Amino acid sequence: MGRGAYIRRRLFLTVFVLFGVTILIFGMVHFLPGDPAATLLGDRATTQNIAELREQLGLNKPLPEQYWMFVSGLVRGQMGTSMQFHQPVRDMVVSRLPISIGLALYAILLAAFLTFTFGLLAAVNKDTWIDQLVRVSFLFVLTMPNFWLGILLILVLSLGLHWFPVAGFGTTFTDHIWYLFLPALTIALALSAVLIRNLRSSVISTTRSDYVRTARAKGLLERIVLMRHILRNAVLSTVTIFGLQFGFLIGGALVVEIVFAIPGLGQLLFTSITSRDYPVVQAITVITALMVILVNLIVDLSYSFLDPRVTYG
Amino acid sequence: MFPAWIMQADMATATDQPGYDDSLAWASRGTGGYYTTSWKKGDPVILHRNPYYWKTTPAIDEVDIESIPDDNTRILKLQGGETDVVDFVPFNQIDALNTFPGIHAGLFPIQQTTFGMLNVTMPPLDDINVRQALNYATDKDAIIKSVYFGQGQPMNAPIPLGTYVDKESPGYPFDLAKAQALMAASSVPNGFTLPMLLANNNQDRINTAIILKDEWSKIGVNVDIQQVDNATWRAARTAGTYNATLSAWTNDMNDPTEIVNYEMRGGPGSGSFAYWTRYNNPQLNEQITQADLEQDPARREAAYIAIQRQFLNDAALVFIANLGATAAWGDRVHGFLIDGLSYYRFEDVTLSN
Repeated sequence: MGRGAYIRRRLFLTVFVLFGVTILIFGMVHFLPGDPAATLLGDRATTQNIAELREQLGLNKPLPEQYWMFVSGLVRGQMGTSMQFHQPVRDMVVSRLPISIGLALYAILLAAFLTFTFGLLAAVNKDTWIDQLVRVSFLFVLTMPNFWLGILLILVLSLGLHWFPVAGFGTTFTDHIWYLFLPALTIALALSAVLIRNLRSSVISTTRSDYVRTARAKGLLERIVLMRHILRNAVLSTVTIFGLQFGFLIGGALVVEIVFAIPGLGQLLFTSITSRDYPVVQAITVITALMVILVNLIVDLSYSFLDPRVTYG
Repeated sequence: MFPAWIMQADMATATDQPGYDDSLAWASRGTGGYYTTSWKKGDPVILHRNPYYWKTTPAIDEVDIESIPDDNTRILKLQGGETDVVDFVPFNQIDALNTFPGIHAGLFPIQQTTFGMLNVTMPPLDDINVRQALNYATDKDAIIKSVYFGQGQPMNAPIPLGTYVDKESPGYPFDLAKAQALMAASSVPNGFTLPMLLANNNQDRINTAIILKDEWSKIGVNVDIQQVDNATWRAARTAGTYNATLSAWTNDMNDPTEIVNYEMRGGPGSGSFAYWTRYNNPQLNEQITQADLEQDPARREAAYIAIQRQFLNDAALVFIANLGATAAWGDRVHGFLIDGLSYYRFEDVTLSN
């Protein structure tokens, strides 16, 4: 099977996966305890207020009817109206999605830089103090909760050194890059802590291969041996782990968006879950699932670029 | 009786009409110091100075109000100089913020109370002896000191410190002996287990519950703290499927009619079932109706005081503390005030360079 056919098949299967996701998320949010109407109206609500709002929001309709409205709307690109914000969910998602994607891409770039820099550094200096320092430092990072790491970075780099703003998103593109550095770094540190360990082990293991010994015997420069022969083969498992970690990256981004007050999908999802804003929760969950599926598809496709021996089908 | 504002009749009923556009309300100019031109929920609120304000023109031409849910982030932004004022400062950070150069933190007196809610339909909370015993066994000073860092006053009257509050209310002073005697005379002299349902997003209430667990253990009540998310908590409270919980109230108006009707009026048609405690005293309901209609201030005050005394005695709530509103601001901010009804008075604020 060629690459094109493989992509088409994966995209076709994606439809079924997303269908399953819609059933799962619809069931989960609707069977969660808690009444959206009561939550939205707050402490001053009377039972009559709550009943009226439930009727207005269509919450008294049979669940299959509500599900059909949700799915049929999704197919038409309509995601309903937010109960909390009284705005079309699609408009809210469209305005926030680029922010979250931007943050995720920024974090991935930083994570790639950290992973390759420190993973290779630890591998080529195996069992030296450099190796130990890298491993211990990132093990320490791995054990820290995201929100705590974020606050720590704010205390040091924002309040202490005044290098970066505390929170927010900025107005211009340059502002966005500056404001998002600390949030992206927070996510990247957590992600690279896992990837560095894997890359280090993978590089060390690949270094012992016969073809590496041959490359060295041929007199190639060490950096060419490292970059062209070792790294290219060692990175395959790291890419796999990245694909698996992407879902956790999205979860981490949610916490980071709250800590750094970034108006992205994560923050919106959090407030929508707590207020039982079903249309928003459902829409964001489906979009997130789609992102995870697409990223894993890209990861799978990347294998054939990294290793020409990999074929599909 | 005491309207919070005066508006055209069609404006008051327009919001009930299907398809009402909320954004219209945000493009309206009132008589206050600031106005808005538009707002979408979730976006910052931008207040523009009203040049026709009936008092002196406000010094600040624009106020941007941004919602930042995380307490730490709000305070860090203030410390980093990225914002001038933050509200809802955690009580445990007020003293620390006052030691930070260029930052001031404090408490503004508002009409706010915090209390425990007892579902009087759940035995043995249907026993008035038990409810009064829980009140007498509550050391309010200890809770105010530990949870609110001394920034509060014991709640002796059942309504916030506003108009017609019963200033002479005896309240429930901490009296362990009296609490034990009431328990001995109650339907559960050997004590009982009391599930206490809490929303997990309010650390002050969780800490209060921990202290109550310790205090009430001395009268044989074993508090079983159950934390759930806010929506679940609210649903249980509304449905009356809880035993005990903690809550708070902030007055929207300076007349007791709102709190009295919400907190003390019970039965079908009350709307709130006496702040969801399911307490229902038909005689008290009638007294409330009469008090609401009373035009003479002296008789009105006497009526509301009598209502408060009766409700206090019936102890559907565990009365804990009167609290203020916390805020912090930078050095360049002068005159910031949260008034007694929790309005933020930006028209009186000036900024120095």
